Amino acid sequence: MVEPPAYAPTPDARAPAAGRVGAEVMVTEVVPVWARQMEATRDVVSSGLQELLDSFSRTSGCLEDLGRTLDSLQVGAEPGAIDQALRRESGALDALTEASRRAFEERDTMLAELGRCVDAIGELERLAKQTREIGRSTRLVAFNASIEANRQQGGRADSGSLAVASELRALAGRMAETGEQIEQVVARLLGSISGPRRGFEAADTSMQELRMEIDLCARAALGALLGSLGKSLSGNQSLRDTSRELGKQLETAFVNFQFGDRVSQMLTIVRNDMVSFARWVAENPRCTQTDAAAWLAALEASYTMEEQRSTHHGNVHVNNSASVEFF
Amino acid sequence: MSKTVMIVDDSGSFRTVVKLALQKSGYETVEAVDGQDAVTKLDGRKLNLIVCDVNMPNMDGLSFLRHLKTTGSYKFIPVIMLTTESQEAKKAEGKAAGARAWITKPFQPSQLVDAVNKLCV
Repeated sequence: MVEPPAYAPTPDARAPAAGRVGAEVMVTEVVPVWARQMEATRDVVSSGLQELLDSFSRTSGCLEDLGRTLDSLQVGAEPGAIDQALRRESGALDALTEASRRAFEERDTMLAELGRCVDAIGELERLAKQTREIGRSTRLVAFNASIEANRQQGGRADSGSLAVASELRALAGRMAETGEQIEQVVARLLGSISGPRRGFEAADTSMQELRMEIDLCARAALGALLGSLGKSLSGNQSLRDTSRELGKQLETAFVNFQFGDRVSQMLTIVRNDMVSFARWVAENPRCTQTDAAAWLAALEASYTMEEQRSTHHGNVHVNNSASVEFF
Repeated sequence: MSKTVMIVDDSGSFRTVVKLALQKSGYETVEAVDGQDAVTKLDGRKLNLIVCDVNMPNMDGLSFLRHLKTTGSYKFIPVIMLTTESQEAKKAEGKAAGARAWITKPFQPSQLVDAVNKLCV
């Protein structure tokens, strides 16, 4: 509230006319100042409301963006979404497993061949055992033949020697047959081993190449999966951006709401000044131009806001951004 | 446990703005409509900081601040003055009375929260 100047107004000879003139002078000098302050207050209200409306409009836009982003968000972290992506990219995944499937088939083929090899080797062992027995028998016969030969001193052959010789011949024949069979088995064994080898060479699928093929297919499958999920990832980024923008707009709205407090304060100050003015004029009917100037100076000195000082002189007030000063 | 900030301002809408900004950052709040009301609420409750306007009826902010410094238990509570006043003379008066910070209105809620975070005991 403005305090009246601390001096007595200048006496004037035209006492009755001076009272009216004095009040007229005060009104003419002081009221325009309040008129400017009321005008400034009205401008503050108008711009404050407009900025608030703009803030809410932008906030509404952010919420619409948010809604659209949520609507377009098809794939998320839900298990159903992952299954959906896998079904959509099943071709790429099948290609990923194709190389390893082929590798397993080739391995199974090899294992079957190896099994046959093992069987053949078993047969070989049996034949070898048989051959050993034949050998033992042959040695035994030969030994008996020697004994018989020694018994027949003088060179005459008898039936015993003949029987031994016949037996030896039969044994030799059996050994020859066994040998043939062994050769056949070996040939079969070699055929079993060389067949898959030729097949591998023809298919050109070394382990290193197989690994490279699997790696390529894995990359393609992952790329396809990520592409499907990429939509949800970009949606999340869009959500974050919209959320940040929303936060900024709400903060702006909070700032703009403060205009109401400023308006209330300015109106209160002007009301109090008017009350003080009316009282002072009533108490000082003979005031002059000098009193008016002094009263206005006192009024200006009572101001607490830069805005009041600006409008007092009819200047345009420029709002500075809030400052924080620590002591 | 969350910290408590007292908001002293004769403007209801302003108290609401400050309250929303602080509660969003995890602070609990207590409101007072002027300095006199704030004094009655210094009733032994735990306070970590006070945000106070300057121009208020019944008891203005600087008078309340001076009174606060005479109390035993609330003497060292940090006080942030939040006001339209920007004159250096007024700021010096606030500093002499014991204020820890001076924020001029209109303010950004994030600026206030940063100041509260910095000074809150």
